Amino acid sequence: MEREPPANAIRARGLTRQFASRRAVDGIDLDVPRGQALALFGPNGAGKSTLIQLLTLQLRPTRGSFTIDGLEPRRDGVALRRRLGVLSHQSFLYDDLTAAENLEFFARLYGVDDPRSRCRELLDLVDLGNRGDDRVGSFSRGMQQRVALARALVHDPAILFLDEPFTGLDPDASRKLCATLNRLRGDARTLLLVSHDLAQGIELSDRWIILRSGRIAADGVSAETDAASFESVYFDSLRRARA
Amino acid sequence: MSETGFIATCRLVAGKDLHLEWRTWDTSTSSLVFSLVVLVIFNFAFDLATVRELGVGRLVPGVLWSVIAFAAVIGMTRSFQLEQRHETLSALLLSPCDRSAIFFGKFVANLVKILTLELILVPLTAVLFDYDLLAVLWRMAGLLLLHTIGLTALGTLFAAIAVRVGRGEALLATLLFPASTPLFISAVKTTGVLLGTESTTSVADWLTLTAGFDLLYVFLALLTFEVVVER
Repeated sequence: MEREPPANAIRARGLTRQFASRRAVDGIDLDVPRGQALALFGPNGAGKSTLIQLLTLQLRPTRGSFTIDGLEPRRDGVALRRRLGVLSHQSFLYDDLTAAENLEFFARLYGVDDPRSRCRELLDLVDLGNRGDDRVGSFSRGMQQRVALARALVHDPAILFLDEPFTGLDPDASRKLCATLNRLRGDARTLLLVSHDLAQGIELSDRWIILRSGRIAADGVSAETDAASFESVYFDSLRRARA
Repeated sequence: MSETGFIATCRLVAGKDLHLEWRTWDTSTSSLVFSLVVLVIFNFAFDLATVRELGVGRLVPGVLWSVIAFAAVIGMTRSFQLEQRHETLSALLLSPCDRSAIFFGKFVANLVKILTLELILVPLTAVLFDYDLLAVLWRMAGLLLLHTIGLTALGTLFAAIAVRVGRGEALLATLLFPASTPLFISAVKTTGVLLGTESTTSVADWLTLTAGFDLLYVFLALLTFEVVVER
């Protein structure tokens, strides 16, 4: 018997967001099956972050609709938010709270059972188990970003949005974060990653999409994509979209 | 995983803000230093002979509430600037919590901070302007609480707007002072009565008006906060 295709974690139809005269996201149709890791590429201003903000309910669409795990934002906003985790280039953390206090605060906001042990577990996951009592403001950018990842995972979200998580990280910090994200790919969580690092994006994803001027310019399967030659694919698709 | 209710969310947000303030003294220090400087300047401008000649009830209410108003603006702006630094406001809004509970938590934290500041400022004005605070202590406490509730509700909402549109104290002051004029008039009039200059006949009317404005401002802020912070 043929296996049923996995249900879509994300399904968007005609998703559009207009800022004054500029259309940042322009009628995007998107299906992301549950458990898939999707990389979003594109130049600055292509609409990648706006798309993430729309799908994480931080912005309201001008037109179009979407569902997350079959839930609609207007009707099921609270249930939907429980399923979303967001790691941005901003840490979403309080500098003057310790790593453990930050995580515990957000764990309690999400109603996580036994927040203290969950925080310890997450600090171990991001290799900061021995720094939980230190203020986040005293951490390096790379360490802050690992605590931010722990914060994004505190309620065990089904879908994790990663909006340029490697911005400002040195190669070592970037490698550590990449290793942690690779570990997360094994647990059937849906990932949507925005990155300017093409090779890293291909490595961390099952599928990729290139956005230009708020539209999908190209897409493909990461396993079938040669990371070394992807740069030319990327620039060719942008040129074609411009033409 | 359980749902975090209104009270629990409010307690978490207020607790976090007060914990951060206790740890850093950021807001309290700037509000307190500003208030002390202004009070000392007024004290130099009006020596005790002038204060006695004009009457404490004519001078002190205006001085006291001016200082509280400007110190409150500094404090309330910082309460949302704190959430802007690493976009933690976005993190709060991403959580499945009731937005009005997030507002109410910020409001409670601001209220505690402003009342604590008043706890220092009021005795200080009594010392600087030589009036008997102990004789009116409890009535003064009630009056401060009543007027600070409305001021803080409106100020917390406007601080959220000011920070969301990328403006700071300037926009907050522009929005807050005209909108809270009835509260300030009532505050000055009733404090004047308490300190013995104004006629007592209209106090009940002023207090009823203030209680009405408190309710209006708190409900208005609770209802509109979600619209204000969403984009």
